[in-house]
Amino acid sequence: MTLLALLLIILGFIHFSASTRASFKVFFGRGRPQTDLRNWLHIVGYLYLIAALLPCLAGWNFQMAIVVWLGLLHVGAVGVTLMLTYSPGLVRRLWLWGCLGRLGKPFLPKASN
Amino acid sequence: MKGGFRKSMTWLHTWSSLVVIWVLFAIFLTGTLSFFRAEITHWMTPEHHISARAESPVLMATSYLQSVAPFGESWQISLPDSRSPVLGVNWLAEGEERQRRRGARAVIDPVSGTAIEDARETAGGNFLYRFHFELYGIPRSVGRWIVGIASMLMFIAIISGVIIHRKIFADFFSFRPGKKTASWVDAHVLGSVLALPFHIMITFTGLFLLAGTLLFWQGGNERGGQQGQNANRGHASEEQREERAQAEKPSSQREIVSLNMNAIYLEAESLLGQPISDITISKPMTHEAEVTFRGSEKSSLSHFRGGTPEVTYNVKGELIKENFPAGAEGPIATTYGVLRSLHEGHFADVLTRWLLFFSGVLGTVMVGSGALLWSQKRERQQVGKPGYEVVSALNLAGIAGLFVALGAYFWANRLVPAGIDGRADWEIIIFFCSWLACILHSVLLRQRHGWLLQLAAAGLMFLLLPALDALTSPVGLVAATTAGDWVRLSFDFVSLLTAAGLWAAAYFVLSKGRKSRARRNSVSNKKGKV
Repeated sequence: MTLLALLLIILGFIHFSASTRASFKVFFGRGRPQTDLRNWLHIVGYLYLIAALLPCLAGWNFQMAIVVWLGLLHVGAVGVTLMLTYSPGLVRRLWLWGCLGRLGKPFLPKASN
Repeated sequence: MKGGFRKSMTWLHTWSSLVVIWVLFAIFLTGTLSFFRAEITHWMTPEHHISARAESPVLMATSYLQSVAPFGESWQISLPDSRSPVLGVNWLAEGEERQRRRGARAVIDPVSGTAIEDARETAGGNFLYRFHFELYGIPRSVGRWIVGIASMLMFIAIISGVIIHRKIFADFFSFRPGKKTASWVDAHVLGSVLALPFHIMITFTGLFLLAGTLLFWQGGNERGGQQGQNANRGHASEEQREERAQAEKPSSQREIVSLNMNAIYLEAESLLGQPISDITISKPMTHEAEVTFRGSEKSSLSHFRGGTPEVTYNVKGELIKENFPAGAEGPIATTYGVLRSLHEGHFADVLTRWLLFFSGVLGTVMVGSGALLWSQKRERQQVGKPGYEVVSALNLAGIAGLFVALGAYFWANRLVPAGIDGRADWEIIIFFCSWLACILHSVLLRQRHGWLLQLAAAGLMFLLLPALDALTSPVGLVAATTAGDWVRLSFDFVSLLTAAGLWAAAYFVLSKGRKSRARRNSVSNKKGKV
């Protein structure tokens, strides 16, 4: 349950990192994040983070689940930051295989660069 | 403070934190370690390591208690758990009055079934815990004042830090190593922004816990109403004791009434739905015996103490009482309980404790990198000036020096002879002497590889701690692994991680020194050619 929650959190934060100007190239090769794409990635990122609450709720009572979820958010955010610095290849693989947000890109009007 | 709101906030952020930053670093580091207070004490009492192998702890404990306190007033058995894998017992012998503490105490050796004698006296995790909020060697109230003021300034620094961070979302995942000041800014931001909810929570709840000291108009009660509550509780227990004394006239029963402990234990465990943490038996070995089993997990975050479910059986094995507390009573008690629980991690299981520890490490990184960032930014303009040199010396002694002192503290735990008087004090004396030596070294010799030497010394001590543990504990590390003493092994693992971090920092200092020397040489060569 913990690992599943952490994985979902990491995937969620990868969506957020894909929407920042600094990390955009890691995921899309070139260009800058457009507003629509950024909003889309944020929505999917939030959904992943909320989805991570479910395994926490399955493993703990409500109060503890919130605490565990918040603690895992810290670990996930630091994990994504360090992976982006020291292992961008791993982040790219996670982006390709686990991040549903990337599937929405072709359908967004301003997304093409 | 001219130049607009953001600039004045930058000024506030810099100076509100700098004046107390070394105290804050010590508070954060020792506080982070205090999440594992019981675990550290277990590591620091190697004589208890053999207790990790108990197989049938309940029977072993009851047979020991039968031998030392037959027909006692009460027995208490603390079962091994994830925080302390030792089997502990407390008892009140027959006719003995309950004192302030829990009565006589022993830790059982699972091989012989007798008490472990001559366990060393150690300051353990308790010293780090108390140092975290009231420092040491000064009156408690003064220590709490200093920590309280530092916490207030920390809170100001957190809020002003959020305001001055221009690209808090754009740079959320940025870490750029090898770029001088930018790298330090990134490290500072990494430690602060990514764990901001934790920092706000821990600082606010810390201030709340010290409110009793800081708010001087609330009746001189320095523990935030705690003493009043305790006084009431003490009064109530006094009355209860008298009632009990009235009710419990000396019994003429001397036949031994045995209990089917195993069966009741299993039933209680299934009823509670969680592992049992401790067992209390009142009037053991008599017809009036009552056995209370207490669970190990809290039912609600609002209980900072207590709050675990319990069931009580009589001597026939019938359930006579059950208590499944839903939460603290009343909004004030609930608020107090939640805030205190969050700060002290009373509710935490193994995973949550590690998560709190991780966030604490981030806080320590935030404070340490903030202190170093101040020096890094002003290195070129201010080097040689008294203010800069004072900060540099305090940075070295406050950060690297504290790690040296901690390493020396753990080494002292194993090297100071076990039987000497005032042994716990000696551990603390060695901690402070090492720190003092680091301060003197920082003041006098910091220019000569000061950082490198202190980081390497601390790194060496932490690197060799597992070896020292293996050599000075009656149970080797392999045996500890097979016995499943993960508390002790985790300590050794974290000390290796700490050593790796310290050595990485030492390597960073070394390579930075080489680069700046090479730069100086190339500049002087160019000047020579000209």
